Formats: sequence, structure tokens, C-alpha cells
Amino acid sequence: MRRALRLLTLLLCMALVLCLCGCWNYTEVDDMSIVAGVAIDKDAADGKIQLTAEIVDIKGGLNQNQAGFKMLSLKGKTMFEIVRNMISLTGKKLFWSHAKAIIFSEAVAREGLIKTMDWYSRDTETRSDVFIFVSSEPTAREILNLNTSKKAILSFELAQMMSDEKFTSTAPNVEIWDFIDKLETSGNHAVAPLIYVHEQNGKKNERVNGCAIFSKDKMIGKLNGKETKNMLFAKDGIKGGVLAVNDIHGVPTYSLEILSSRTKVKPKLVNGKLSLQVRTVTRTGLDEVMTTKDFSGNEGISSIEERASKALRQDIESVIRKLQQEYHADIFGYGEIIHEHQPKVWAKLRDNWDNEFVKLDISVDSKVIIENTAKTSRSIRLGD
Amino acid sequence: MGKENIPAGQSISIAVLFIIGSSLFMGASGQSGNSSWIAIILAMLLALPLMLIYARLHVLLPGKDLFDMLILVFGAVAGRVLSCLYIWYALHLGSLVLRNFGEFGKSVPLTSTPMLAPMLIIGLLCVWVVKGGIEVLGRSSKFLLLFTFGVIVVVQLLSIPKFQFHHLLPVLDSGWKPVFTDMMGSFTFPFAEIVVFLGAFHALPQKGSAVRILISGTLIAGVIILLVTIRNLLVLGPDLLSSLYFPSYVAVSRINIGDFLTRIEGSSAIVFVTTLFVKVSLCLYAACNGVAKVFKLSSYRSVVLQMGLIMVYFADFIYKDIMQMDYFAHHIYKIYALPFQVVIPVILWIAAEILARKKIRKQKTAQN
Amino acid sequence: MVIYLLLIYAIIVVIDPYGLLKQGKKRDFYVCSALCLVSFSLAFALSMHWDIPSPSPTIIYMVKKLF
Repeated sequence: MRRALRLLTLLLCMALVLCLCGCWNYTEVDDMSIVAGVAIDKDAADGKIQLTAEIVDIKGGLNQNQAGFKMLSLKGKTMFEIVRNMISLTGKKLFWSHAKAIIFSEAVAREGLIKTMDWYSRDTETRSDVFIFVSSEPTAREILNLNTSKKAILSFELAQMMSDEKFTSTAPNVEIWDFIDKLETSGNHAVAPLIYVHEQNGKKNERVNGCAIFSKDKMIGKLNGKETKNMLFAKDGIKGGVLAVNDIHGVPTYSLEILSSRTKVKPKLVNGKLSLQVRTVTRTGLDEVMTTKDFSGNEGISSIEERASKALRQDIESVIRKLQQEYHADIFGYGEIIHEHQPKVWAKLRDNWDNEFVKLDISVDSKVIIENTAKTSRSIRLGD
Repeated sequence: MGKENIPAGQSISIAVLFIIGSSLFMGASGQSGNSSWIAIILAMLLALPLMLIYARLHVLLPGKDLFDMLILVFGAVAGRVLSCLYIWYALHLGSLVLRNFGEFGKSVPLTSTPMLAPMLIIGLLCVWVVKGGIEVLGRSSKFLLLFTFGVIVVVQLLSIPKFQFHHLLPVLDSGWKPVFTDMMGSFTFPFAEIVVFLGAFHALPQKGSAVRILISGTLIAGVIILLVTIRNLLVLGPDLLSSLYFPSYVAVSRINIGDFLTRIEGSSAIVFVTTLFVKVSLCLYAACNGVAKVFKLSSYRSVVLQMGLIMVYFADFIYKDIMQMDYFAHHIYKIYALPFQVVIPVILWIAAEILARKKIRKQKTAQN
Repeated sequence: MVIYLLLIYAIIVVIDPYGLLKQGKKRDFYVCSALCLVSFSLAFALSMHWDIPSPSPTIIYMVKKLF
């Protein structure tokens, strides 16, 4: 009896180990199509959604040092339907965990993004740290189709671009969870970076510049690259970039490299009227002097600082006014800040925030500090 | 079987891991938004007097566990009936926790696996541990506690870059009433569930140590749950927190250190399984002990396998789907559990005090 | 699936209640076999995909009635 019992325990252990060694639904890498990025368009003719997926092709990667790719496009009524129907094109189930970019066409964005985005954020196989873009071209898939001329997987390039975006700050860096977060908070509207095709000498390149403004989940307008930078200043979203400063005569002469920037927004209640004070402090380094005129000495530096601060202040104010008057959209998150610091006032304003935002009195104060002048301490002097 | 004995350190480990249990992943009930941390602190404070009551029971009736106490104080018939209620409570709690794990497995990591498979494996493991005796559980809890501490501390540190402190403002956004509702919710799940540990009280070492074990267990576990809740709040924000079934999982998935250390949420699920394993084992132990005491069996070990299997099957059909489980856990459980956690122990305590006074008086008159 | 279940439960019965009987613990044997019957019927119902009534709706109903 003891031996039989021992044998039984051994069998039981082996059976249990079998259950531990792998997953119930184990799939080989060869049986999956790894999706790198998707582009979502809307067919104007029949109103169906068209999904184009850029898929990593592992077969091409043996003798090259970069993986090959495949493009697949399908139309359907709902996102999930298209995704599952793609199996009929590839013969393999799509694997979403490595996807890095989603591009929406402008038509889809103007109609409302929740329709196409809910599946992506709800499904368990997709991850919410993909970068979201809006295409400035008529369709989104022509951006992804650039990969044929560039022979590189475009979505990974876009992801690399977004992670280096902080060095230029001309487009916001938005991931899906961030976008949905801003959609859900009252007192904040979302933005998304714009992509368009930049053609030069017959060669096409993708360019991320500017941003799309959303009200609720519908796109209502665009901002160009410079306005986007000012918008990021107003939002405390600048981590690097360039400020171009004019000299006394209005000629662009100096370039400041932004080392760090902090924006503090304070709501103030004066006689029952709410006003916002935006203060930016930007630490920069003087990186380019386009004249031979000397700037060394505190007078030169401080006058550059003053001019830069004034120009920045005017730029930020103009962007805020534009958002207030033209678009009635608070993309800076000021409503949320009022909610956090003055909850009682917010309770009265929140239902009509878009209109209240138009009337809001916002004053901007910028300060630019030049901390160093890079490698040389004076401009290039011309020797005769 | 000789008398089982677990030293104080191991008892504290069991208590801490038991209380942390599934709160780590299910999160506290989220009606108070960004004031849920206040609710947890209040719940912890509210649970401390209850712990003192439980500890006093240990002093009044030393060496006896919950079922012995019930039978002694309330008599053979009524005591057995109340013990059956507690057997049902322990079984139900174990099934609830197993189902939490099954639902978590089904929605997030193992979507194609039938829910019964991971629940059955963990259930069998718990059966094995309980058959070995509560000393085995004590020894493994001590080691698992260190491991759990380590993982929780590491994950907390790694998620610090993602903290956004403005999520804590404004304080008391929704007012005091939701905070009180949440306090009651957090009090019953998980702090006062330690009543199940009373079913193992006969194994505690000496007279006075129950106070130390229960109070330190509650405080340590409370601090851990508080830290985890604050982390979830800071990373996700109150709006998102209320829409997720498993907030900790999403909060950990946001961790991204230099693009190198990402997607570690799978490894943090190990902590979930560990604490859950201790919780289910203790519930199983209490239930089997109850059956043994009610039916006057020679040892609880005879019924462990069957009770374990029943617990697993029960976990499978107890809820139709995750929404029912969510609703039950956050709304119904706090009222349903009150009789077991508060009402009956308080009555037991009062009755035990009266009995103890009577005994002392009898002894005095006998001496005189 | 049901056949696997029957085989496994045959093994369990041999180990558990029968093992107790062999050790001479009469009371344990009765309780254990009663519980074994309960768990077997539950497992059988689950594997045949019958709908087992769950106590949660009852509890929800009772708690709601109180409030």
C-alpha cells in the first residue's frame, strides 16, 4: 500500500508539473503577426472604417539588419470586426503588444475619436502606451505607406521620433492613456500631434509638427509648430527645445537652447472674480549668435533675456487668446487646476466651463534666464 | 496529532499576508475618489478596538479556538449551530478570494484558460499545505512575507517617477459621506476578516501574545494597503481608478524606467498569488477545523481534501460574471459580513466575560 | 471530460474515505464520505455544464431587503 501511495503521489506531482510548465494557449512566434502600427481611415463613400496595419515581417530579417514589413488594409463596420477579419488576410492572429503608433485621419478625428478608440483601450491584448497621431494628409494610411520608399518600419521610426520630441517641443507627446485621461477629466481638453508628408527633391518624409485641438472627442482645429510650442509652455510641457530671439531691430539673431522650463499656474479670486496667473521660468543657454556684434558683458545678456521674455510672453498670450476666442477649448488644463485649488468656485463653473473659459482673465509672466553661452564666451570676431 | 504551536513571528506573518490578501489587487471600494486613503486610515483605526476584543477572547479562554469557544460558552447545540455559520463564512470567503484570482486570471493574463484551471491548482496547493498543518503555513508565511515586502517596496520605488501629486487635490472632494461608506467597506474587507484567524487560535503560544499579534498584524497590513492605494491614486488619478476592475495592475503597467524596465506588471502578479494563497489556506484551515469540532472528528486532516475541492467548485459557480463579483464585493459584502465579524464575536466576548466573572466568584466562595 | 472526472474521483475515494476506514476512524469516514459525495456531485454538475444555483443572488436579495 505504501509503495502504491508513493507511486500515486509521484504521478500526481508529474501531472501538476505538466500544468505548470507552459500556458494553456501557447503560440509560436511564427504563428503571430506582430503589428507595429495602425492607421485608421474612414471611407467617405460607404461610411466604413478602414484599418491599415503595418506588420513586422520576420522572414526578411535574416540577411538584413532591419526587419521587413508588410502592409494590410481592410474595411469593416467596427474595429474589432476588422481586426479579427484580418486573420483571413494573414492566416495568423495579430499580436498587438509591440504596436507603437496609431494614426487617425482628420476625417475620423473630426467625427469623434471615441468610436474608434474604445476598442483599443478596452481590449486586453492591446497596450495603452502607444503614441497617437492625427494625419494632416487626406488619409492616414499614406503616412504608413511611406515605409515602402524608406524601407524602414515607419511606426518604430515614429516612436523614436516621439521619444526624441522633447528636444524640439514642436508637437505634444501623447499616448492613448494620456489622451483618454484628458477626455474624461472635466476642465481639460485633449491634443494630439499632427503628421504630414514633407516632400523634398522628390523624396518623401514624414514630419511631426503642430497639433490638433480636440473638444470632447472631436477635432476642432489645428495649431502650427510655433503655436504648439507656446501652447506647451502654457501647459508646463516643455522639456527642451529652441527659442529664437530677435535683436533690437527685429532681425532674428540669437538662439537659446531651453535647458528646463517650469510653468506655475495660480488661480486668484479677487472680488468674486476668478483670474489666472501663469508664470513661466525658463532656463536656457545661448547657443547661437548670428552676428559679429558683441554680447558679452551683463548688459548684452540681460537685454537678450528681456527681449526673449517679452517675446515669449506675447507668444503665450496670443496662443491662449486664440484658444479662448476662436476655439473655446481649454487644452491647457486650467479648469483642472481651478478644481484642485478652488473647488467651491469650480463647482459653479464646471457645467459651463467652455464658455467660462472664454471670459477668463489670464495674465502671463515669463522669465528667461540665460545660464551659459555654451563653449565660447563671445561672438566670432572678424579679423581683418 | 499533538498540539500545534506557531510562534508569534509566524502568526504575525500569517495575519499580515491574510489581511493584505486580495486588497492588493482588487483595491479598496472607490466611491470616495481621491479621499480613499482617508477611508483606509479610518478603517484601520476602527478595526483596532475589534482586535482588542478578539485578543481578550484569547485571554479569557486560553488554548481554545473559535469553535471550542462557541461550544463552551453557548452550549452544545447553539454552539454547534453558530460554528456551522462560521464554517459557511470561512468557506464562502475562501471561494470569494479564489474567484477574485480566477477573474483576474481570466481578464488579464490568461484569457483563454478556463477559469477552473488556475483556481484548481491553487486550491490543491492549499489543501496540501493545510494537510501538513498550521505550522507549515506559519513557516511558509514567514518566508513569503519577506518576499512580498521586497517586491512591494521595489515596485513602489520604481513607480515614483510616475507620481502626479496633483491627483491628491482637492482633498475631500466628494465630502465626508462617501468617505464613511468607504470606511465601512474597507473595515469589513479586509481588516475585520481576521475573525477567521480565530479559528486557529489554539495554536498561538502563550496567554498575552494575541494582542501583539493582532494589533501589529493590522497595523503593518494597513500601512501596506495604504501605500498601495496612495500609489494607485497618484499614478492613475481618481477618475480612472473608479472605472478599473484591477487598478494595481494598470498602475504597475505604467512603470517605465529608461525604456528598459517596462511591462513588469506580470511579475507583480506573483505577490497577488502569494498573499492569496495564504488567505485561502487559512480560510480552508478554519473551515476544516470547524467541521472537525462540530462533528467531533479525530482530526481536521481527514476532511481537508473534500473541503478544498468543495471550495474550488464553489468558487466556480458562486458568481455568474465579474460584474456580479464586483458589485457583491463592493456593496453587499460590507453588510453581509458584519454579523460574522462584529456581532457574534461581541456577543461571545460579553458571554465569556460573564462566565469568567462567575467562575472567579465561585472560586472566591469556594475558598471562603 | 466526465470520464476523466469519474476516474479521478475513483482514485480520490480510494485514498480518502477508504483510507480513513482502513485506519479505523469511523466518524471521520462518515463525514469524509458525505463531503466526498457533495464534492463529486458538484464536480459532476460542473463538468456536465449544468446550471448550479448560486447563493449570491439570495444574499444580495436579503441584504437589499434589509435596506
